[in-house]
Amino acid sequence: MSFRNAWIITQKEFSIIRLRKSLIYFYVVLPLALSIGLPLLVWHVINGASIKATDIHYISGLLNAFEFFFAIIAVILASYTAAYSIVGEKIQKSLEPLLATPISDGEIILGKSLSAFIPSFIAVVLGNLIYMTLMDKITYSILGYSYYPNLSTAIVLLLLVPFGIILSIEISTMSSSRVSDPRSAYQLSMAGFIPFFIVYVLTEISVISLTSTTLLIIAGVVAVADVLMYPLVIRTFSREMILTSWK
Amino acid sequence: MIYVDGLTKTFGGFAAVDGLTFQVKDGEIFGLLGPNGAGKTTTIRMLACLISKTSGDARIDDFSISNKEDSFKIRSIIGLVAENVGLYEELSAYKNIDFYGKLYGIPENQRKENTKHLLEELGLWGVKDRPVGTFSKGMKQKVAIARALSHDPKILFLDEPTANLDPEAAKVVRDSILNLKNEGKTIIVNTHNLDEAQRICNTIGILKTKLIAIGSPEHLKESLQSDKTVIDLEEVTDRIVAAIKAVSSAQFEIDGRRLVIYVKDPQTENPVLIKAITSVGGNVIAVSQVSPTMEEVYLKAVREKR
Repeated sequence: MSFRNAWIITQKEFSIIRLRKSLIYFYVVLPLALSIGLPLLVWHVINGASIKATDIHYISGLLNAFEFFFAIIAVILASYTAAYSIVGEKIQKSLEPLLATPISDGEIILGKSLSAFIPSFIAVVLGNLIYMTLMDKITYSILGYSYYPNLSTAIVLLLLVPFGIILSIEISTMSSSRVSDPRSAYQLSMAGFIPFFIVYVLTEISVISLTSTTLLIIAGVVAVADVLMYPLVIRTFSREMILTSWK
Repeated sequence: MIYVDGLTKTFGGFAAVDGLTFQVKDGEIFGLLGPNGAGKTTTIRMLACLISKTSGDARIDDFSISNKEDSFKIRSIIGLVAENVGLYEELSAYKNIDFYGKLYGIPENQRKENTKHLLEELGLWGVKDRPVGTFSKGMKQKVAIARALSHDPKILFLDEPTANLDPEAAKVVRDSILNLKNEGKTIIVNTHNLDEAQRICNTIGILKTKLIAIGSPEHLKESLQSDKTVIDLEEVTDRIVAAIKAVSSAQFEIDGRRLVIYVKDPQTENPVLIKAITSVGGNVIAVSQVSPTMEEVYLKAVREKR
């Protein structure tokens, strides 16, 4: 496996992403909406009601749940990009000439995965930095200390987000082989979003709380899912399958 | 040199290509001619190491398509123009070609030089920065050819290179293929354009899952279809028909006052036939000789295999 070859594919994908305005807006608008919207919501909660000492616990619970949102949008962003990247090649029928070059299937999938991983990760991290800064400013007077950064943030950004992105890319790759338009691929690949959504719902109904331990367990489960899905992805993205079985 | 030996591909028990054996010499254009579903694209895909073969083998410049290591070497010395051009529509012509140059590991300076040379040669240098999505089909096909040549391959596989092109664009592409032949490239071209195959190919293989005929266009015409002698008469009578049957075993058809006789050797057979017709009172108005068209040769070969 040559990283150089994979990186050439990634650079080509970046050139195309730069020309697709819908993707750029998606990368800017979604993280920005969260990073500004959530602090505004908390600001409204704090200023709209008289916060008692017991409410401090409520605020910190809210912040943990909000942090989890960034893992969810990482999955959404990566699914969108990966679906466009692979189905785009299918629509333009550009995989056949690409496969005729001295490049391996693994290098193509790595290149495409990096092109979905890097911008999604960067967008989420930058969005999270803005979010943490604003949230600390808003909650400092109530909490008496800067809530962010903390261990939960590190687990979300360094483990859950990357593992979640990998899972969504894997699901996108597999679903892209079954459909021939990016929207359908994106909708199918949103299956990767469902487990994250379930976790969020469970926190809302107080079945689980998003402590550092819980986040670490969730990240571990997602990592295991990544590993288990990898052979399936490699099998789906083999040149023989692409040219003879893909719809 | 390309050696293909008993190459077979089956999909779930159905043979798409069955026991293909042929050779292509260096600098030659080999045409694979056949109806839709004959296995032309599957053959090219196997030779380009895009899909695996079920049995048999092929050696391309001494590398075997059966060997995984060799398959990378094969892919580095071939260029492929697939049936669908498969260009990145958002990217410019220059970027499309440059991307492939990078994949073949060509240094930047040489890549720039090659890309410029190719785009100039194909008349696309003036539009090099335009997204290929805005190009006509002919222009896209030229970009696809330039892309396949970005690493100066020894061997080219062209899958229906002029399909869906208007006559003018098809001629430009055909001329480009002939130029490549003059540069010494070995080319395998899939086509069902018989006229095109006759014009550009040194050797033609007629494929219908199996290779049912192979040879130069002239050889195929000779071996598969006789020349036609067309004799226009004042009247075709039973006596004339009997006279022809008496002197020749050639097949013939009667079309009104016209006799179409399939002769093997016109120079020897025609005088005998004319003499026989006139000897029974036939009045010959005109005699013409018609060589079989590639279409007739092709249809005969394909129909005989049904």
